[in-house]
Amino acid sequence: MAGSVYLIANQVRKKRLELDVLQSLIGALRAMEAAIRWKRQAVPECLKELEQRKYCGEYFRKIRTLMESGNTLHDAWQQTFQTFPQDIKAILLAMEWEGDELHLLGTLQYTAQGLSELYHHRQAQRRNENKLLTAAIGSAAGLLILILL
Amino acid sequence: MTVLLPDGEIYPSAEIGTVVMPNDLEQLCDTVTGYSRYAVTESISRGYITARGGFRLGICGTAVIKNGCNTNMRDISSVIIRIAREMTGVGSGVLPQLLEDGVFRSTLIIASPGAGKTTLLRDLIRGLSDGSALCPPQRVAVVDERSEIAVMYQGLPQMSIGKHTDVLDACPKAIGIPLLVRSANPQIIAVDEITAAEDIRAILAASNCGVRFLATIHAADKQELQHKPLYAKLLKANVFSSVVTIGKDRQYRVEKL
Repeated sequence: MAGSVYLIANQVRKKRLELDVLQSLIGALRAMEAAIRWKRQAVPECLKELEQRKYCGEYFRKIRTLMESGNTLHDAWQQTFQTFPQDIKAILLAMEWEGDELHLLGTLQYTAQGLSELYHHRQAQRRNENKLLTAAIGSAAGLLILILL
Repeated sequence: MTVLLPDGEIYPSAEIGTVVMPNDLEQLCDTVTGYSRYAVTESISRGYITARGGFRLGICGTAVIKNGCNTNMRDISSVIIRIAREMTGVGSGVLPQLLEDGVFRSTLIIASPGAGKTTLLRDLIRGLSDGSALCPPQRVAVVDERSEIAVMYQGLPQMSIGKHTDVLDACPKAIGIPLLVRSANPQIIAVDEITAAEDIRAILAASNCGVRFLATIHAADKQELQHKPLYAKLLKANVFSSVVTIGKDRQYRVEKL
């Protein structure tokens, strides 16, 4: 039983972290869009600023490191987000780092919007799961009490 | 691919390959701009990109014309890379000749392309800004239109330009000169390569406010300068008191105008 509790707690923690990373990524993409729109900031400088962000900063650091070691932005982006869960990965890897300023801003907006919708969907899913988990724990506790009695 | 050195032009051997493909040039531009060509659209439309460290890439390709103006460059066919070098101290022998009673007089630096005008300009800016026994430190403001003088990177100059120098980076001279007069209260404004009538108008207006100028112009010598119609107005207005001509082997000759 202790093992099951530990596994469940681990799963809950993992899903919580995924949601935090997702939320952080949404904020980062929106910040990048604003920096390009208002200051026409170059991508490497945007990435350097985004490295400071909690939860997702390490991924932007990795992208910048890969670019500095000779990879293209596209390849660095693809490599960095390969290990993400499928639903998040599909949205991120669809980003196109080509075209003019307008196209890039549109891509960033579209990707941030896609991730935002995914975030809300996952949050709703998590709430349902929490309800089920609470019910299951309640039942298990009740069963345990009955057994002890 | 060829390499132009001070001693002459050389051709890389067949082993390292001399054929450069369009994809290589596109990748070069992407790498230099950090995959952010949108951030340097203005300079690309003028045919160049400035890279970190002050290096300049001249770009040739197919111009994208909108409303009669070149707005971009596509299908890049060749790139010319100019390597930036700083030479501190080259102006130390020239600067005292540009002073009258310890006061700097507006000066033009003239030479053919590639002779070292920007190098001398930069060192004179540094010398005026830091001051010396002959002249106190001056408030120098620089309109660095092509980011070649101070070579600003994230707000920090990569070249030595003195302790009392304000830099307006990547701004056209005609806009930057009046802006600096209003905002920076300069004693001297330094600009590189006066080429347009609006630049000259801005200089004339600022000099009427008491600002002195240090500027460069493409011309082999004073005679050629006097024959160029664009600069006749500038010379007629007596804005500049001295001209420094850069000859072969970087020989500097100072003359009064």
